[in-house]
Amino acid sequence: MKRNTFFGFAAPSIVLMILLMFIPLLMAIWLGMQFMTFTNINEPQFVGLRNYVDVLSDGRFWQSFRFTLLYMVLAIPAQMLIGFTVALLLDQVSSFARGVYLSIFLLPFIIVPVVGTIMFKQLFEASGPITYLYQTLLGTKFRYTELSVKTLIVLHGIWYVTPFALVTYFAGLQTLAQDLLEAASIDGASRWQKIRNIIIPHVRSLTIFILLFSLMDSYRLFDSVFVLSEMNPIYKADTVMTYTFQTAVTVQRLGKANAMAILTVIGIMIVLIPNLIQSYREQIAER
Amino acid sequence: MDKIKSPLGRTAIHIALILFAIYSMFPFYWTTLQSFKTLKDANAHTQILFHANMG
Repeated sequence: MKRNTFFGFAAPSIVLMILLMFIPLLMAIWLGMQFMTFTNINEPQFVGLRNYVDVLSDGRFWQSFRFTLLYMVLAIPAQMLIGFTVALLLDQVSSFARGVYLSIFLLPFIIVPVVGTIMFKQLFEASGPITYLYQTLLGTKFRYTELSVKTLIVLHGIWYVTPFALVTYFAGLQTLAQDLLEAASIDGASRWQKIRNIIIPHVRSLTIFILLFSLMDSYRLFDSVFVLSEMNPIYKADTVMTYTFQTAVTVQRLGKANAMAILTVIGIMIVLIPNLIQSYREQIAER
Repeated sequence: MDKIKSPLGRTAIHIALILFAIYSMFPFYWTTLQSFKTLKDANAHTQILFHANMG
């Protein structure tokens, strides 16, 4: 393809990306270097990198960063493991049953996040069934503490995002060449050996895709924390996004919030770019 | 993958899938159930999982 033709086709996307991604990013970098509140929003004061220094020396920022990392470490493997296991089970049933099960399994993922979180929270209210079960089994009342709120946020994350991993893995299983499995059966491979040596390598690229998507999604974790912790600092359950929101809206340090947003983007890039490069190389090698 | 043919195995798969369906759907079920209750019943500490009188 000629270069001019390529740019002719790509121009609308490039213009949109510049307008919707690069310009806002540059503005956020510029705003991150200003001392700006809602009162001096029209006359911000240039402070250079002071906002970045403030963020990096802010204990609450690091606390929220640690909880975001903890959420990633706990929720993402659980989502992927449960999603893969259920996809394997779903592959075993008839197409009619698959349709019924899939439509139920997708419910948590298709609902508006805030509404889903409120529904989930109701189970743990004073009159909720899980609270009742907790009290009956353990003999103590379920209380909202730092540990319980953080646990609820992780459990909600698993409940809410597992359908995404499930559907992706299930779609991947449908593209698996049956002759490979038949050949393995003839060679006497057990079911576990087929899973380990054929299915897991087959869905490897999907696993990377789910991992990257989940990492990005975890960085953006907001709704569930907003509803489950009610932004109460006593639970120390802030994530990077909720703390950025609080810094901008409650504390009115708009420049510092922009600096946090830029640092978050850099954090996401550090995680994503090596994986994206590796994934790109693998796809080129497969061709 | 080749299908499990034993009735016991197939039953176990369906039980596992039904349990996961209950796990996925329970918050929706509970919210729907609460929407049919009076405020007093909805806030009661002893809850009922099935509501006989929906009218």
